[in-house]
Formats: sequence, structure tokens, C-alpha cells
Amino acid sequence: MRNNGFVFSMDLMLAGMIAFAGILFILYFSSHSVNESMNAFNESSLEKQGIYLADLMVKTSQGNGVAFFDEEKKRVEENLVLEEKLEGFGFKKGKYFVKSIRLMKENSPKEIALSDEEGNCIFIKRFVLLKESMQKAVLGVEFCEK
Amino acid sequence: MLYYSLEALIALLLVVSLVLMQQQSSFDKKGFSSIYLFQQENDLLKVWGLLESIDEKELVNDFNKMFAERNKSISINGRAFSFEGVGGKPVKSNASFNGFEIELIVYH
Repeated sequence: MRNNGFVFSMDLMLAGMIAFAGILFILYFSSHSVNESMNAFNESSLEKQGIYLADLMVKTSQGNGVAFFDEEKKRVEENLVLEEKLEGFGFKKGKYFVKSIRLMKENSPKEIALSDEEGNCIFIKRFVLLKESMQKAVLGVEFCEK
Repeated sequence: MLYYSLEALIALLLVVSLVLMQQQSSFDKKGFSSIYLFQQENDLLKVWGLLESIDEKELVNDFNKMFAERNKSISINGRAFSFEGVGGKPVKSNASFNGFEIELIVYH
């Protein structure tokens, strides 16, 4: 029988090192991708919840809705917003909350602070018409995650 | 004739799966942007439709105010106004009211 002497020949060692480096590279790349995906998922959850809430606000009159309900027509007038409802607005559900609401009207911007809590926040903008003054405004919702 | 050894085939599969993983995560990041822009475009069209009267200048101002810093264009009765160039993936909405035929395009 031929004796190779050393069990790990140079050839085998090189092959082993290459395989080891390959596995390390794959593990590093996978964990990097998983982290990126997790971050994207968390960001998109905040974005999704924020977009959903802002849409609910301008399209409904019950619960978190601030839209005007026309008693005569028996229907909600989407995007026609009652300013008084914004004053008393409050939203907190699990880790999500609304920190402030900004009403960017022509010449008279208005900010309504709703929470002192700190968190990771995004700003959602919707275009509305104010029922009382029939003035156009950009409704900004600062939506946060603790 | 091309010959792929087993190692080469495994390496290729690994590269393809890594590239696909990257594409998936970049898709996740863009997920809600088009829905959000579409909602904002519809807001403008609904509010304009609720007003008894509105002029072309107001339409353009509101559109600019709502989509500041974005590539966009508005077409009013066939006349197009573009702002900050045109590029990216378009989100389109259109409506007719008070004698206006309007098409909004915002790029993201």
C-alpha cells in the first residue's frame, strides 16, 4: 500500500480552506440578507399600518375616521374632513401610535401634538377639503412605532 | 460542448439563489410606495371634484404642493405640464369633472 505520509496533503488542505471560506462567505451573505429583509419587513409594516390608518381617517366617519357623514345623503363624504374631529384625535394600538397631526392650510399651518412618546416615525400626507371652511389642505399624520 | 461539473452547478445555483434573495429584499422596500402615491393622486381628484369651481392654475399648484420633490406630470385637457423631469415607475390616475379632463402621473 502506498504511504502518503501526512494525512492532510497540501492539496486536501487547500480544498478544505476553499470550502471553509466558501461556507463562511455564504453564512455572512445569508445573515446580511436576512437582516436586510427583517429591516425591510419592519419598515414596511410601519409604512403599511400608517398608510392604512391615514386612509381610514379620510374615508370613514366612525372610530378613527375624521370624514364628514352627510345625514341627507346617508353616506360618508370621503376626503371632506371635519377639523374638530382632528382636535380630539388619538390613536394607539400595540407598538404603533400617532405622535402629531399637521394641517397644512393655505397661509395658516396648524400642528396638533398628540403624544410625547418617542419612536421611529414616518410622515403620511393626504390631500383633503375642510368641511367648515371648504378650504383645501394637506393632512399630515406623524405615525410612529415604539 | 459546455460541460458543467457538479461543483460548478452547485456554485451557479448558489449565485442565482443569492441574487434572487437580493431582488426579494429590494422588492419589499418598494412595496407600498405605489399604493400610497395612487391614494394621494385620488385624493387630489376627489377634492377637486368636490369643489364648485377651480381653475387650471390651482390644479397645477395643488399637484405641485402634494408631490413636491417627485418626478411628475399633469395633463389638463390634453395639455401636459411636467415637473422635475420624467423617470422611474409611473403611477397614473385620471378623471373628468367641471369641463376638465385630467391625467396625473407620478414617478417613484
